Amino acid sequence: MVLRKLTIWGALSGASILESIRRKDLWVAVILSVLMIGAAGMLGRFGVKGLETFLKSAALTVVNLLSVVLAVIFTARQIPEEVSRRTVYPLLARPISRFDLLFGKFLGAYALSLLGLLLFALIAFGALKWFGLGVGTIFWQYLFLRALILGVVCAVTIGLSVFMTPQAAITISLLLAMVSQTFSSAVMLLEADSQQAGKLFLHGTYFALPQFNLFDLSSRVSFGWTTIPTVTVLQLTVYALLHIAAWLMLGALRFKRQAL
Amino acid sequence: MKDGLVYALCGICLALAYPIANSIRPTIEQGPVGLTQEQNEALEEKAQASLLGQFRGSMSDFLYLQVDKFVHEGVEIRGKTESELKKDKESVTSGDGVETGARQHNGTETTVVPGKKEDWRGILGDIERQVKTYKPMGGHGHRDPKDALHIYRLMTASNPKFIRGWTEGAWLMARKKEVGAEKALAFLREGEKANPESIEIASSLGWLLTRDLKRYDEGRTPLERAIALGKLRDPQTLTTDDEEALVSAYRFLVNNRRYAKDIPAARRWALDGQARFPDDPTCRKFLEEYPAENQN
Repeated sequence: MVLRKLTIWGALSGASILESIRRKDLWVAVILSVLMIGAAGMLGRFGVKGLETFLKSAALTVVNLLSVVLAVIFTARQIPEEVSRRTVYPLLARPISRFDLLFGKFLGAYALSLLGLLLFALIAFGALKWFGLGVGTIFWQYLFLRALILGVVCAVTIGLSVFMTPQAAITISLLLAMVSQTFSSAVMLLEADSQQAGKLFLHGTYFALPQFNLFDLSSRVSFGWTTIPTVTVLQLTVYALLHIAAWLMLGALRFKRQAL
Repeated sequence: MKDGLVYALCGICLALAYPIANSIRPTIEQGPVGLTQEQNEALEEKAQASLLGQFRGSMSDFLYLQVDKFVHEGVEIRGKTESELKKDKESVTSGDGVETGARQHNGTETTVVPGKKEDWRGILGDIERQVKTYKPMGGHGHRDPKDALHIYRLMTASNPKFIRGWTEGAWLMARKKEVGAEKALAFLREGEKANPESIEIASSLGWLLTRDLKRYDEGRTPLERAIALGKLRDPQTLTTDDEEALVSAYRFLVNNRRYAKDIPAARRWALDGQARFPDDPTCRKFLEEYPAENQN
C-alpha cells in the first residue's frame, strides 16, 4: 500500500518536473542566477572592504526573495493548469485519488523549488567566497531552514490554488511569505493596546498563519552569530511539517469536493 | 423671385463666411493638444530623474538604518509606543559612554523582538529569540561605529544629496586614527561640491578645520558661509538639523576667532549669534568674558 502510494506520488512529481523542464520553467531560475552573478561582479569592481556584513545580508536577502518567488510561481499553476487543459481527466481516470494528485504535484513543485534554492544559495555562497567572506557553520542551518520553509510555501500555494485563481493564489502566498516579519511585528504592537476580543483575534491569526520569518537565519549569518540549538531546529521542523500537512489537507478537502 | 432672393442671401452668407471665420479663428481655435516632442523628451528625462532620485533616497535611508543595526550587532531596535512608555516596558539602554561615538539611548526604545517576560507567544516567542539577532539590550555595548565608515561611503555614493551621510561619515573619519582628519576634510569637500547650499556641510567643514586641524583662517570661510546661508533661508523652512548646524556654526566661529586671537571679530559673531539664538551658552559666556569695555 505504502509502496504503491510512493510510486504514484513519485510518478506524479516526476511528471511535474519533466513538464517544467519541457516548458523551460527552469530558465527563469537560470536568468535570475545570471542576474545575481552580474550584480555580484559589478559590486566586486567597487570593492567590498568594510561592507562584509552588508554584502552577506544583501546576498541572503536575494536568495530568500528569489527562491520564494520561484516556489510560488512553480506551485500556483500546477493544479489549475491540469484542470484548464483537461489533462486532469485522464489522470483521475487511473486508480489515483485527488489527494494523490495534489500531493504528487506538491512534491514536484517542492523539488523544483529546492533546486532553485540550491542554485541561488550556491551562487551567493560562491560570490561571498570570491569576495573572501566566510559565512560559518550557521549557513548550513540557514539553508536547511530555508528548504523547510519552501515546503510550507509550496503547501500554502497549492492549497490556495484550489480555492482561487492562480493569480490570486500567487498574490496571497507572496504576501504571506514576504510580509511575515512585518505582520509579526504589527501583531505584537497591536496586541498590547487591544481589548480582550481584539487580543483573541490577533492571537488566533498569529498562531493559525504560518510564521515564515521564524525560518530566516540570514541576520545571524550576516552578523556572524553562532549556530542555533539543535532543539530549535527540531521544533521548527515539526512546526513546518504541521503547517505543510494542514495546508495540504485543506487543499485536498476542497479539491475533493470541486466539480471538474 | 422668391427663389432668387434665397439664392442671393445664400451667396451673401457664403461670401461673408470666410472673413467672419477668419476674424473669430484666433478666439476659438484650440492650440496643439498635448506636448511637443521636445517637451515630451524633457518630461521623460524628468520622470527618469525622479525615479532615480527616489531609488537613491530609499537606498541611502536603507543604508543609514543598516548602520544602526550594524553598531547593535544586528539587534533591531524601535521606539516605544505611548502605552509602552506608560507601562515601563523593558528598555534599551547604553552601557558605554558618548565617547564611543555610538547613538545613546534614553529609555524610549525597546527591541523589535520582545523579551521573554513580555511575550505572550510561548514557544514561538522562544524560537524567535533563538533565530533572530536578539539579546537583552539593557546596558548594552556598541560595535565601533567607525567600522561602518564604508557604509557611509556607499550611502553618499548612492545619494550625494544625503547630507547626514557626509557629515556623520566625516565625523567618524576624523575620529579614526588610520583615516584621519585630512581624509575627512577631503570627504566633506566632496560633499560640499554636491551640496553647495548645505548649512550642515559648511558648518562641519568649519568645525573640522577649527577643532581638528587648527587651521583657523581656513576654517573661518566655511563657517561664515554657513551663517550667510542660514540668513538667506526663511527661518520657517529650516529643519532641526539646519538649525543645529547654524547654531554650531556661530559657536565654532566664535571659538575659531578666539583661538586666532581675533577678539573683535569673535565678539561681533557672538553678538550676531546671540541676536539669533538668545539662549546659546557659548555666545553668552564669550560676551561675559569679553564685555565691550574690555576691548579698548
